[in-house]
Amino acid sequence: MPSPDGKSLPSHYVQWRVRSLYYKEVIVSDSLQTEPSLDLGRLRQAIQEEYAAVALDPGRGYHFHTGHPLARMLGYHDDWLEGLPEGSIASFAGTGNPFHIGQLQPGERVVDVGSGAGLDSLIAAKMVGPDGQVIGVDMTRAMLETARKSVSLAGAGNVEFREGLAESLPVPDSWADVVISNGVLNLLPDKLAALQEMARVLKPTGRLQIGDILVRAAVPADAKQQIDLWTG
Amino acid sequence: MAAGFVDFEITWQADVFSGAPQASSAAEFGTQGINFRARKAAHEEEWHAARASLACEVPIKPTAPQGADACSDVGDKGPLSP
Repeated sequence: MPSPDGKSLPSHYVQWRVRSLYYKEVIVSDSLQTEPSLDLGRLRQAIQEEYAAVALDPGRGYHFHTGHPLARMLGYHDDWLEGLPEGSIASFAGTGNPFHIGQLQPGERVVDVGSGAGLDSLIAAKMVGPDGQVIGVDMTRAMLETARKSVSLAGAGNVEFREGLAESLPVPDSWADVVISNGVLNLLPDKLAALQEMARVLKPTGRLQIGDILVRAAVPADAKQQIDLWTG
Repeated sequence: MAAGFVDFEITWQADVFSGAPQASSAAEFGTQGINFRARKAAHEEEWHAARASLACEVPIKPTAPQGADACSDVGDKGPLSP
């Protein structure tokens, strides 16, 4: 694609810009559409089955990395993981690092959307300290059980896990200073609804710190209807 | 109704799927792990200003050479190393 001065821009740059603008449009504007013919019930069931397996059998081997190797790859510091229960670390399946964007401050309130086995919530709980609070929300019961066991083992009194959906968070309006999430938005057909919920629970000027995925190639319309491509 | 966030920025991206135990469609779509941040607007006026700056960027055709994008003041810094 030529630039106005006639020079060619690298194709990867152009594609990156397109996808970046897509994400920005989702974040800032009201133009995002959901996938109208996708069977949301089937999709949620497939996601729950996939992540229940990760909670119950984290070493099985998946189409994504998990556990300690993944945490190292994503730049999680050793001191963040120190003292945290192995169950939460082994079933960790994020795609980014919400804390790479900025550490949380003592006393802050945090919501972890799609908290999974609870690793990011427990790290957040360490960062915000006893005067802060963390609420993790997840729809997969096996993940919630793993996360609650880890809270008990870690003795973390400032974090709790609630069953719920990203599109209808069980959290009051303007409660949070920070919303974190890791590898979850890409699983939601209605991203605008989830982002609106994140905005609802955040205080004005509250921060969004998200790990997720970005695709450089266009995803064909028929591929968006394939449940196995959403989960794999 | 929109999400109401401003100061969107992708701060990091990397291939986080290659070498996973099972094959996936990630490579087929050029999938990258990313970190991004944004901030809930302090008030309606700030959010409307952010939307206006987005309207400047929506056309896909670049308006300036790489690194000199006149419309990139919403925090879009391009690909970064971890």
